[in-house]
Amino acid sequence: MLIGAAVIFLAVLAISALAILRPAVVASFGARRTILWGGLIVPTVILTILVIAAFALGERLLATPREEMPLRIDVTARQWNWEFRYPGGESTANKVRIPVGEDVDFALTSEDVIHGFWIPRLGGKLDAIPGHTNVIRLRADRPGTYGGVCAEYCGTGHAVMPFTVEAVSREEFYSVPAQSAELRP
Amino acid sequence: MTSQTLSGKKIGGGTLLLLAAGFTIWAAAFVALYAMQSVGCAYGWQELEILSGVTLQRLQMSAILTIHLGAIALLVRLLHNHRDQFLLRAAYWAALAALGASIFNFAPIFVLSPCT
Amino acid sequence: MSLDRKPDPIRLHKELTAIWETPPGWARLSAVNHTTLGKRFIITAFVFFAIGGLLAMLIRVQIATSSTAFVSPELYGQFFTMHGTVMMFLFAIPMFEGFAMYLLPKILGARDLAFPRLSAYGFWCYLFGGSILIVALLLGAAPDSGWFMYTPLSSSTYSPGINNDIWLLGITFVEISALSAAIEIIVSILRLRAPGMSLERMPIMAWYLLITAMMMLFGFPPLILGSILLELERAFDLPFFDPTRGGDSLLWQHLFWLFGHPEVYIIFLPAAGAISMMIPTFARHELVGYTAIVVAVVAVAFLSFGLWVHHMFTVGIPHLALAFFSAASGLVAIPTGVQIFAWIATLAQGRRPRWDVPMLYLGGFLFIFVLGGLTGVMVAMVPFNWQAHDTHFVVAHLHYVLVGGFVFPMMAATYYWLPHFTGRVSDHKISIPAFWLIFGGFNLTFFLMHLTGLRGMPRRIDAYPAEAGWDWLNLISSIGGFVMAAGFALFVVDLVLQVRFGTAAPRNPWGARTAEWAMPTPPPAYAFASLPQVQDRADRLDPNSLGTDLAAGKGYLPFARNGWMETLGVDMATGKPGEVIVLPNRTYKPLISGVLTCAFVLCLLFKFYWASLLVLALVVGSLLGWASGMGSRRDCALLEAGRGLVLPPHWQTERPPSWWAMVLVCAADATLFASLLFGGLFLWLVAPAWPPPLVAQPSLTIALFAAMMVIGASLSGRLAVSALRQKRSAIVMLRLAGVAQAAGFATFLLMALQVPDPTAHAHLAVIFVVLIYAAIHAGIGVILALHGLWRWHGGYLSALRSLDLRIAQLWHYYAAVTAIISLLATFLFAFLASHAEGPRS
Repeated sequence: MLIGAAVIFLAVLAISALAILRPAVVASFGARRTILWGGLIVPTVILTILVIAAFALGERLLATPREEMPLRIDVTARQWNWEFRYPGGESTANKVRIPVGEDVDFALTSEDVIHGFWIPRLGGKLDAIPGHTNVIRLRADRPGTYGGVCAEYCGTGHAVMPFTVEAVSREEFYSVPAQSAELRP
Repeated sequence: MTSQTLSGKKIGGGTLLLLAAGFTIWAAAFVALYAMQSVGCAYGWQELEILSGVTLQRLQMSAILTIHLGAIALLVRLLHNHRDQFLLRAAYWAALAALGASIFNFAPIFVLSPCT
Repeated sequence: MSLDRKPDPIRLHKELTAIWETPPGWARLSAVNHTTLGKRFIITAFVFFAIGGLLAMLIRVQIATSSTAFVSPELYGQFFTMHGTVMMFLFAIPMFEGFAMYLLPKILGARDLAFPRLSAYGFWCYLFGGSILIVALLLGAAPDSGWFMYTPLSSSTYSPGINNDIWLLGITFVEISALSAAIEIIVSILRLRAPGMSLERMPIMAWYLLITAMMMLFGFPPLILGSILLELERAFDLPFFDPTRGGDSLLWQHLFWLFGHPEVYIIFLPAAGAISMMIPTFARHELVGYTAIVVAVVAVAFLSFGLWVHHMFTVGIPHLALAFFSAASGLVAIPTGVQIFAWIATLAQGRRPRWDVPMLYLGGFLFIFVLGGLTGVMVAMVPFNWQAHDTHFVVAHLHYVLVGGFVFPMMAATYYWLPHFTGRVSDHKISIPAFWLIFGGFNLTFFLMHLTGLRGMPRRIDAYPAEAGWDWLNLISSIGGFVMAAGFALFVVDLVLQVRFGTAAPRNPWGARTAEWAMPTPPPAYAFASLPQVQDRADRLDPNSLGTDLAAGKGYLPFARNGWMETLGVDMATGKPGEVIVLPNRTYKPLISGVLTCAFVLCLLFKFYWASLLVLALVVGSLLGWASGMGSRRDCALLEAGRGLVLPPHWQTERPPSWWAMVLVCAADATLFASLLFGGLFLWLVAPAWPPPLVAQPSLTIALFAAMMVIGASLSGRLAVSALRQKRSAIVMLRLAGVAQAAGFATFLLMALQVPDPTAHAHLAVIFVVLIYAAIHAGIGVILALHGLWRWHGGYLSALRSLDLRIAQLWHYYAAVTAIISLLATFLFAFLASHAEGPRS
């Protein structure tokens, strides 16, 4: 997408420069055709491809219901910390452990104002909104520690609301019963 | 709307509204689809299968889209023969643009997840 | 007065100047002239731009590195909130209004806008409203919840101070100015043009401004409604946005962005209009693709209302709904592309384009805006948006679009029209280094910011740890910001030098072919000594010969009559002249009304609610006072209009500008009302904490009585007009209309008071507000009926002069229709609330 944008950008600049420096070249293409191709046809084709690709990708990222639902961690945001609650009943503040290599659903809500749940290296973000529960499906492919932040302005503590995600092996994760209600293979 | 009043002398201020007619139908389709999508999800229509593989949610949204596309197409046809006058010509092109925009804009109702 | 004597340019100039000019000294406060007020708007907007820029510098210092933070998070919140607020509401919109006000009559071949006093009132509202915000900033009590004021952060629970009330009331105050400007622009373009200027002959900028003003008419009411509801929640605890009592913070987001996204195009389109005026001049070829551009602008106007949710991709809306908005956001690039390629094609048609300072700035526009448009398409794609949303990538994108799409074209426009403003040309080429500093500084600041955002830096954080690795990027951005500021300082120096020391400009220095150059520069207050007859598209004129002819009185209205400020009204579509419009002379009334309106806002701000009712009565009284002295006490014979044309005065015609203004007021009002009903349905469908503990039970009998009253009022209003037209007395019917509206007012108020505890649940609060809405409209109906009686007794009404009553009649109709819808909505909401288990099961 970045490369495509760069190409389009340079093309538009080049055509404009040409129109100023060598008007005859552009004029020979015909005014109507310049507008029709430059303004309508080419952008429509590019946008159609882009939109279809984006929709297909978006569908794959959705937390759609499936036969065996992924691990679900309830997240409650408040000014200015995050509380994570595992299926097994344990809850932690500002840090969460997840199993590597499998999808995890984070069910987000807020106790006060709107917060934005974002772990930049794991994917997109979703807002935690009071009165609503939003589910975001993320997956860590490698073990390690990932930083998370609040993305939506939530008051004076907005900048000091980080949390950490520790992705551990599945064996390690499921060996703690307080985290997982039942043991998974 | 007969061709007499359209192409004849009576090009009044009201003709200006024709310029917006196509996209007004687009806007109506937008509002109807967005609203009915929310209503359908609230009532769980995405799980009610009417025909094999077609849910009530998709069916009602397709119906809404068809009606609006039909209305714009009709408008385009009506304006097609009256392109001699500036406002009507512009209205024709605007209606055509609205038709294209509607197809591009609302095609996702046939494929994407309606409620997640 | 003799109209048949031979026109003498010098005498004509002196006579017209005596009528139109704003005298020096304190009398300046009485100005209603579009040239004067346009300049005031532009200068005031530039001062606010400087304030906003200063705030930006403070922001850039704070986050220049991980260790440069110098203010508390509280103050930082005020800085970025005010930076956004000032730039959007106090700079961009008023700047475009100022340009429109100054230029419109001149490119349309008219002497002024349709409602000069409204221009003045709009200016005072803007100045006072903006000043309230700036004073709050100086006192450390400025709004601090971000410029889009998301609830619940902006609600009284989490922001108890006065800060956010200042935003809600101050900005709504400024929006009165924007809405009145929109109405004035629409009516002026449709009705106040030169004879012969049919719609297809209008200069392209008139199309841009017409469509932009229509967008304002429908785009601002949702935000005004949102602000009113949020202020009602903050002041009286009506829970529209409180999730614990059936409200929803998402309702605010919808209302805000339903305004907020069109707003971006409301800012861009006038700038694009200015570009479409400048490009043909420098290309030395008329604009190519006139019709295509008109259609493209219509398409942008509509599409821009279909993409507001792309600001809300991360709030948990289903993918299919996001897809509508994502597709529309992508689509809007196409009509924008059509415009850009029409400009390119225009440049290519002429011989080699003339290269001068405005073209340099337009080059800057193209570079920056195209980049901003491309990142715009990126963030319109849902998966990418989930990554980039609320990061510095979006900050970079929006600055590319707004600075590229508005600031650069406006600087080009400044250099292009400065000879018109001042009558001088620039001998100094400071404009060129200024350009490179601004352009270079801008890209330095914001290009790297894309990267900062992709590396994970969220918006609006006041500090960040050094480990984050954003230090060098932010430092370069901050340095770029200061380079840009130096560029703007140079720009100001250049303007001052030109205004003070520039050499006198010849008429039409760029060789333009539009009507605004067919006058002396700086322009006289009356703009045209006589009005042109337009034979061809109005960008194919020869301003030099036309200007001489018009100054010599060879056009329409080449005289000063009765001390009247006269211009011509034409048929909307064909441009056939239909009436002589007599504009109100300069007066202090707009200032008085503006001061009183400001007092009203301050009363609300400091919670003197009872006093505010008294002040509101004074505001209404002062506005009604505008009518006194307008119109005529006797039927007028037809008036000479020059060149053998004889026309009636506007108050004796069927649909003069003020009638259209009332239609537009109703359209804007209806948008607000529709947003309110949408809000009610939205909360029922989506909000948490439903069904309500208590459901409203409106009485059918009382509702029927209320409906009868408002229907009766509109019938009486109608009959009053027919009585007047048949030369009978209208008194009885006017009284009847007044009484019926008063009864309607009382009944709706009663119904509203019967709603059990509106603070308990959003369901009740919505019904309460819907009924109050109907009551207020009936109340205004009472005032209009009384006003009709007053005009009748003053002798201003006759069979020929029924305008006041016909305007009131429009209102009675509108009030009746909305009142009945209010009643239906009340019953519908009550029904839905008691059956709300359905959707949530």
